[in-house]
Amino acid sequence: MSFLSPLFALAGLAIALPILFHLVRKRPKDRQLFSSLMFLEPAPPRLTSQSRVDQWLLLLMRALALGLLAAAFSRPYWNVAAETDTNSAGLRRMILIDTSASMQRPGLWETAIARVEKIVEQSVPTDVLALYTFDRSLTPLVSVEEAIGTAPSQRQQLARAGLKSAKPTWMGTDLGSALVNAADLLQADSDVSTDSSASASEIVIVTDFQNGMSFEKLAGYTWPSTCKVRIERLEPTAMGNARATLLTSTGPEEGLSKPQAVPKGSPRDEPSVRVRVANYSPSAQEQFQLSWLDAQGMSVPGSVTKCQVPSGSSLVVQMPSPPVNSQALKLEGDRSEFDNQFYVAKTEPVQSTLICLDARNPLPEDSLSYFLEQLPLSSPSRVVRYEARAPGSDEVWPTPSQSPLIVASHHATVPDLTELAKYIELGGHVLWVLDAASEKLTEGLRSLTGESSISVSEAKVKNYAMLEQIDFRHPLFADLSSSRFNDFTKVRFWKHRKLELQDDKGWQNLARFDDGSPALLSRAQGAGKLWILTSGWQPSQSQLALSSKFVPIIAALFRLSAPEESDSDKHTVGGTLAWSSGEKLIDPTGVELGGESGLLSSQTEQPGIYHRIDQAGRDVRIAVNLDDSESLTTVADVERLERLGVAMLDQRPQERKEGLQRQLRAVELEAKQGWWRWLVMGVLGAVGIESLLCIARNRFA
Amino acid sequence: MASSVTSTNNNTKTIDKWIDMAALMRIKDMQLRAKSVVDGFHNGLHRSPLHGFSVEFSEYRPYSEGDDPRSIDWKLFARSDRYYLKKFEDETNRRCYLVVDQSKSMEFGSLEYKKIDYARTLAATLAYYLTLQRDAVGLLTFEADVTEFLAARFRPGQLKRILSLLEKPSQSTSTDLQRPLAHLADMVRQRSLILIVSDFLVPVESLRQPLSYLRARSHEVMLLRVLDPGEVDLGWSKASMILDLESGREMYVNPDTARASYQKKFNAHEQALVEMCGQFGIGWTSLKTDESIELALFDLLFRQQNAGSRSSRARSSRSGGAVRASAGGSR
Repeated sequence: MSFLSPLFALAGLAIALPILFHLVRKRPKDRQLFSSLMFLEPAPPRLTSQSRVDQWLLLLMRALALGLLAAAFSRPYWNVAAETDTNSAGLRRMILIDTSASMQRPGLWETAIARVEKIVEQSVPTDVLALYTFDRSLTPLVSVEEAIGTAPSQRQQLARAGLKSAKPTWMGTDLGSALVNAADLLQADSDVSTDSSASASEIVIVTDFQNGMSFEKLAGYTWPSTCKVRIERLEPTAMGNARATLLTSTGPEEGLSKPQAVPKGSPRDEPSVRVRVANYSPSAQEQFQLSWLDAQGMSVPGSVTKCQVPSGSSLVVQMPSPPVNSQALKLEGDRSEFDNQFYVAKTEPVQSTLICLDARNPLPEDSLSYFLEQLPLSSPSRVVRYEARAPGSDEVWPTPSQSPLIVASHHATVPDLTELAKYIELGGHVLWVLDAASEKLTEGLRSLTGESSISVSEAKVKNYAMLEQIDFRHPLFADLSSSRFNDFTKVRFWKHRKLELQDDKGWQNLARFDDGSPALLSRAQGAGKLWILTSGWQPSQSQLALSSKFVPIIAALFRLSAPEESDSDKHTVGGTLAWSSGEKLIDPTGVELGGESGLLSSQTEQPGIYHRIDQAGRDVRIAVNLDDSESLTTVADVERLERLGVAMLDQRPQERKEGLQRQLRAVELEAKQGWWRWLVMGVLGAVGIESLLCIARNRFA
Repeated sequence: MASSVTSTNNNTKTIDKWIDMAALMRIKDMQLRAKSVVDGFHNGLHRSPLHGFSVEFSEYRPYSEGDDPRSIDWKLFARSDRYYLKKFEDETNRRCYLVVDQSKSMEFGSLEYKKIDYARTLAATLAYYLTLQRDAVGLLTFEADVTEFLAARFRPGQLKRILSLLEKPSQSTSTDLQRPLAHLADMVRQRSLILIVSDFLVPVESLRQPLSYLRARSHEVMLLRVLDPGEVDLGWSKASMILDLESGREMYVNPDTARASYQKKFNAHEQALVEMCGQFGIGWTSLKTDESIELALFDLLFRQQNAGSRSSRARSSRSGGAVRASAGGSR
């Protein structure tokens, strides 16, 4: 027997009251008149010294009435094996385990596994238990179809087996995408398997729920109302996290990257880099140490920089430039070590040659090369060497990788043109400057382009010609597209050639002269590209070389011909690295990616230095780092999900819910049995008998 | 003054031999009852040493021209050859008011009669006695307020009126001495003897102001306290519910446990009353209802004697004699 409100049973102690009253000596009946009570003190009524009760039956009735009343209020019921249907219908429960890089924090993964095992254990056999992991994408361990196809008694075992293969990765977290996919899978399941015993669906997310998660995918998604989401948030053993990021000059934070701390003892003229150290709250650590690590993972002497960053803030620190052999920036002092290394791939600059095929002129400024050789085309990652080559020279022609751009003039000979055609086919870029019109040039152009309809003639220029219809959307002119730089009216052309194309298919006209004839054209040929400028840039031809537009245009042309490795430090785990045939990519553990499968791209799975080795054996180091958002380990607000329309499940503790469920069962049982009504009837009976006894006693008395 | 109370108790046994109060109270006619007491008192008085005070010698004064030569003491002239006038106390008719408490508390009585019966008999006796002395007697009865008032007169039928008022049944409410005494002070302008018969079961402080007011008006005041023996020693042995006659309040009292505390408080209250009387020069007599009423007459006589000697001393002091302060009257 149990009680729904056992506390009311305490009212049964009130039975002591009638017993006490029965034992209390009655006040004397005889009254004594007295003149004044001013000198008297009242004496309390005393209990009889003998425990002698006169009216046993009355006492019994009164005690019985009180006892029954207390019992009625405490709502007794018998614990019969009443079947409640709370667990009869199972759930389609999908467990999503966060395997993102932030789960590499100490203690988190073990807690996650334990939590999932507990959820699996608490599931009833009728539950459809699907198990997925998610980081950037959703990965099935036990898919929904697989779970449905398994016998109910085997589902928990299947989930446990699937859990063994789960492990944390180094990817970023896209919770929005994972939730959308999971909801779609559950919806598809509910559409297909109508005979499934599971009625409602639930997604349990076992995650650290860090702030860096992406929820964007949920923004335009209509969440199914039948699918509830429950967050099982994990607490790491070490709170807080710090991250050091190397700031690049072209990075988006250039404006923020003013040096704020200069390491002691470092001369100001020594090359330095800026490192942003962010300390995310709640963190107990404030003292950090930065150092460069070499290829062997050892700290480079003299590179240690100390800094103090309060919790919840960030600081930009200036530290010595990474040595050539360094591969990572290491942050020490942070207890969450998963993101404490920021990989950098500092390589030797690429050596390139710019070849100009032009005959020597008595006046140097009349030659194209005079202006080209003065161009500053070198960059930190590339050293550009200028080479003037005489037409018809028997020197070995370079490969496009050695010399990505060749500038040719009308002096080019037939053998030169043959070599240039090969060079373009291999991927080289040739800028042919038509600084004079001749029959020979037209022939050469026809042989180079393979188009017999091309003709070149000297244009009739009255005073000067100007450029128009410039395609500023093209990368060549993109840098000059701003209104501050797109004024080409001061670039005047004294002379230019008129190029007539019968079939302009494949040609891209990037600029025209004001008489309508093309000024700059390009056409892809093979793996390379042919550029044709119908005027020279020498002062005798135009003002182009003397204008401020010349350097950006040629630099952009060179950049287009030899694209640099773009932002080698910006690769993040989960991104794709591509390589060309003949090259191979080796991951930080030394394993060749792609291998024999013939793939030319692969997703990076861990941070570190990847090596792309070309046919010549040249090693290009590529640094792949963790997604910055993974370092944002502060706990996100669950309401973000609710705001995005996700139906959240009641997050009350399981014990409390079980308690509520028990209570509901008890209420149901008690309502079915209704003992309290009989007890109240008993109370009324006892009170009635007691009243009758009193009346009878008074009458007989 | 406390010694006077003690002496009262000591004299009780002696007096009891003379008068049986129970038998006296069985006499229905109040005048007869009063007469019996006064007669008995007079009989006893002949045997007492207190005689010859009625015409009292006051002083000698040298004769001066204009004095009545009938007052010259010729025997002294014969002895001293000088004329002296012999002065006597004037025998005057004094005014006397009997103030009788008829409140509910006076209804208590553990004997065959109640306190109120005793108090009425006492008042009647005093009225009879004073009338015999040719004094003007008045009456004021009160409960919470004045119920009856009869101005002091000496005339035929005054005693009858007094006795009829005393026999009048009372409404029996609570006691309030303040208003009746204030009323009396307002009504009685001439110097009078005021005899207050009550149980005085009220806070002492409530009496202080009206009594001092009366004394300030040059009245002679005498308190005659009437108590039932049961009030003095809590005369019942069984624990019972006690009903206050005046307030109607009930209280469970076990006399075995409450007696000591009661008597302590009762004695303290009486002591405070006695001290107050001494302070104001007020006469005090406490009578239990099983004691003889003659005792009150003794006190009255004693007080009159003291008052006479005091007034003669006062006159002699005005003529150069010594002045001696007198305490309040006491038996």
